[in-house]
Amino acid sequence: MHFGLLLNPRWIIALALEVTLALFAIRRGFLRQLPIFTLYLSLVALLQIGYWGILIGNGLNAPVTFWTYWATQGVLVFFRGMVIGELARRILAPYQGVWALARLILLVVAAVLLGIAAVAAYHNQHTLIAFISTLERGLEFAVVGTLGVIIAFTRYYEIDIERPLMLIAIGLVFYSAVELANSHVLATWLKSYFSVWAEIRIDSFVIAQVLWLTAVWKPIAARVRPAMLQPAVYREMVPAMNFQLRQLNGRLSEMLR
Amino acid sequence: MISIAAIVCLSLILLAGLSAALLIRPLSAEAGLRDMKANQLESLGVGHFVNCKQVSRALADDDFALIQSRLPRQSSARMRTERRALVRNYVVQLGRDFARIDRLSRIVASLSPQVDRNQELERLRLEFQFRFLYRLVLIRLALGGSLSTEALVQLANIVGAFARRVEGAMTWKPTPPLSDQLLGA
Repeated sequence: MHFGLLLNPRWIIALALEVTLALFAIRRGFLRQLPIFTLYLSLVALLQIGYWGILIGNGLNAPVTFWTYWATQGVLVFFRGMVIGELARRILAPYQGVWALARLILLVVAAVLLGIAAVAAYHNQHTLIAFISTLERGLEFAVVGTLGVIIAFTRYYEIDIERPLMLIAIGLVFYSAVELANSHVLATWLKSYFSVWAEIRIDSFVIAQVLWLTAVWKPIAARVRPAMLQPAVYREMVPAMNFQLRQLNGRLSEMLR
Repeated sequence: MISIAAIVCLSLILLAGLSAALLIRPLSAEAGLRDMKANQLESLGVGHFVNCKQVSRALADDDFALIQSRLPRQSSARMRTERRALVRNYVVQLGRDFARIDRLSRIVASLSPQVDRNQELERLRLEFQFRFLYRLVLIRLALGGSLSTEALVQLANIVGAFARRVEGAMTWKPTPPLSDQLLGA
């Protein structure tokens, strides 16, 4: 048994925060409004407890500890991707037209970024850690990139993001961005950096969790659908407006000749 | 080798920065409208194009040539500067009108149950193009170049037509089906 690890206050604080956050989210009714996010928070706490059990039983250097750690990370990255999808749906779905457009673009962006991650990992198989860290970096990049596209859509169409959702999104971007930078450094200076990397990973996740705790502090309001216009308004107006805009640009070009 | 790579990287960064500044960065008028709510915006008039006749009259080449021939050189130079400032101000006002119209059109798109992908992508492209050309026009004016009043009038007419389209759409009502209308009354 390796109980010495339990004496690390950082790890204990992180675990306590994970459990508190999951319980808070469930208690505040997030399971109804954001079920995947709540499931993700619960999984973080449960998997961490499971990982600790294996760590205490087998020690840090045992192969089973190594594989358990990376398997749990894989599951959590997958669920982070699902949370992004849930956020996109919650924010954009009330705007039916924009959502139909965004859904397609988000799927393409996510597929391309995941494809790049898979190809990069395939070409970086000289060591196991290099392969895993490349794959993880690609997946984190896909998370950040997809979330970036969602935020670009909301900015362009002036769609308000509810405060809790914004905090959740900032937490996700922050953690994934730190992971991205972290695994890049890991890939370059590998072994000498490994212990520092583990510490940064825990700290960045603690910061993300504090943001999420702020998000789940109050119950989230039920989604309100905005009053939509008649479909004919768009059909009649937008093509004509684009035509006017083309003319406007043509005239500006002429002025510059 | 490293220096060439560094120069290429730096050039690419500069190019990306310049493109972002010209194409993506919103016009100052667009940024000014950010804080306004959609319902406030609807009540705002888009009226600068209406003043175009007066502006074009003030800028008429014939009048200017006549006045220039009768004024001392210093006064005619001052007049040219003021004339350019007037044109610049007018172009800025047109940009402001464009920003209002563009914002309304985005709101219409966001509140539509169906949007056309091609139309949305085209509008995005046209917006980038407008910002780019608008900034080039302002740069040209700042560098002492001139613009024809005829082109200015046409530009204003286009913004005006654009505005009427949006205003019409905001007050759009569905035509009742034929069975609901009084026939042969």
